[in-house]
Amino acid sequence: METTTFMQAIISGIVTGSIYLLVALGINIIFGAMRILNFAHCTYMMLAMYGGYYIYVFGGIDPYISLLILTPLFFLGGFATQKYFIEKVLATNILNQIILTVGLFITIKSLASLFFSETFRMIPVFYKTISYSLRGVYIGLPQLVAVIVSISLVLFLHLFLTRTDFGRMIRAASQDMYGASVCAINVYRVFCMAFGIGTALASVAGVLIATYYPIYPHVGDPFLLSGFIVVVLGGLGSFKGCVVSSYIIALTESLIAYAYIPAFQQVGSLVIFMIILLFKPKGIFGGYESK
Amino acid sequence: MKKNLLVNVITNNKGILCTLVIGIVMPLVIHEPYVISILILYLLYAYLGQCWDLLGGYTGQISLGNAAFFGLGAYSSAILFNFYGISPWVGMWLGVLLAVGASIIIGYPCFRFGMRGIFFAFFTLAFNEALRTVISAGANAPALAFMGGPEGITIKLIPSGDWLTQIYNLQFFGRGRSIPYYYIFFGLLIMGLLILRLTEGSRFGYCLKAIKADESVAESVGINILKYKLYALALSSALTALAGTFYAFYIGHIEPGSFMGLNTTLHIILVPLIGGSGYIYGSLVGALVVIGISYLIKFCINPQYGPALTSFAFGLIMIVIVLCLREGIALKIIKLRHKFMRKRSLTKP
Repeated sequence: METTTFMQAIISGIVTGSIYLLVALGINIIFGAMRILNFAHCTYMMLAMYGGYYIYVFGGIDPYISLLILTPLFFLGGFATQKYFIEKVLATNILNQIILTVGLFITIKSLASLFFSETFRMIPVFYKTISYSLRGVYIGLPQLVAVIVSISLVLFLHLFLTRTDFGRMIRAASQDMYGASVCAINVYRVFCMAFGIGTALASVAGVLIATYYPIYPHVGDPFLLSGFIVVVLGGLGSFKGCVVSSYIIALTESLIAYAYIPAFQQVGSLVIFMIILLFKPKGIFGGYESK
Repeated sequence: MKKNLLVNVITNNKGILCTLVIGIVMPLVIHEPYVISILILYLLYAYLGQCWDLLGGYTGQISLGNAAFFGLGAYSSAILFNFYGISPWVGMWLGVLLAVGASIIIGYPCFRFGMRGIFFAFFTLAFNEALRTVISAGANAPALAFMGGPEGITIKLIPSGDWLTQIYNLQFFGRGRSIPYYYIFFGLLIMGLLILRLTEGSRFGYCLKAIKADESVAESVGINILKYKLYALALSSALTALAGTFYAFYIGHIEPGSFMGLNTTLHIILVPLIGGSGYIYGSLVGALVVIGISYLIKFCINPQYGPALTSFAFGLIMIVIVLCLREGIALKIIKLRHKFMRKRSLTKP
């Protein structure tokens, strides 16, 4: 009996970890490119959840299919955010960058609670209750889809960043902005693209969990905090570190919830984060230093 | 000679003296308790803004966890008062000690290992969230139940007509109950102003400003940046904790959500930011705008939309400030005045 519960905790950790992975990768790409920690990141995820909900309610389109509409839309949204807001503070000090992204975060969230109200919503999809079991350990269909989609997306993104010209451009601009611009890379365009990819990843994460998670304006907050922890722990700008640490954090949280008190899961990950940073200030795999 | 010194002090601190006079006279003119309560909130936010500004505006270290220190001050004195009957005047020092201890525990590793800017901001945010979750977990963990969980704790009322006992318990009763609180918060504000004033003219303040301008240059000139950053952080958090104690006894009820939420921190940051960070009177101006907007929305808009609309307005202000008014309102006004004066002096003679 004990092992079953334990395995169940591991499974739920892996599911949450896959979502953290998507969120954290988005934050990581944005940070890697511009050294900006985007507080508004998870509001995009929340907006995508509402998008999936309304498309399902009014258009009758399945959330997974609505990804085809939502992801390009969010890519454009991120592109515009970078072009009209973030770009203006790139050359200034850190206070301005933090305040700007926090301001976007509050504005979008409060707009959402004005327009969508604070009530909890669920997308009533038919496959919500389907689940598979192996020796008493259950996993729901939406959760399984979330894990598979996010892992394959991450593999795809890795190939994109390392094998295509455009991915190389992003990485070049992250490593040395000036050097990249000398090599005839339009750095600001690349930054816009990077921000767009980040928000697109957030929207995918949002739609994936919208099928089994309640939707409300503050839904992104815990993911934001965990996403930051994952990114900092894995090493800012490090792809491998992001993958490893998102599962570490998610497994820790679910195991703490299983072993001790559910309310303490975030405290556990915060404490682990603080301790690891004390011994490895650059994160597990090392990354860029903060400015 | 002595008279000269006095005159000097007065002419150099006109702003503080003006604030002192206006603040003392205010409750003699306005008797409406509701207005006084708004003024108290104004004073509180201006003071908290000054505390944040000491670290954020002068030293350039952005803390997103000031609400945690506010909560520490409130909780420690309230728990001591409720369970042991210790006067808040004594209990608040425990809050201050805890805040200083906590700030060293977060600050030392951060500053020692060169975690600057965003890292420090996020570290303080994480500390705030961790502390808030621990305090709110009282419902599930019996060991933490004395902190009241998410509903918070209500401070025990000890009714008394004797004014000495009232001061001892920091609980005032009767019709003019808010006026003593007003003067307490006003005293805090003046203290904050004096501390900022003293900081500005001293070696300490110059070191902080040097650290803000460029850390590596400051270090190469021989400033111990670790020490000065820790001093600034400890001072800022200790002062914040003091305000927490007084506000808890003024409100009479502490809730982790409203005392230590991210919203509290954001309001605190907005105050110096709007007014002008790194400038003594910035927080006074900023708090005027923050409190003004939140009450304007409270009065004019359907209460159903109130909180969301207030935070929408604050978010918008943050964006606007960063994009086009970076130095803050107070400094902008001063600059415009200088420009105007220069123009006049150029045309007149």
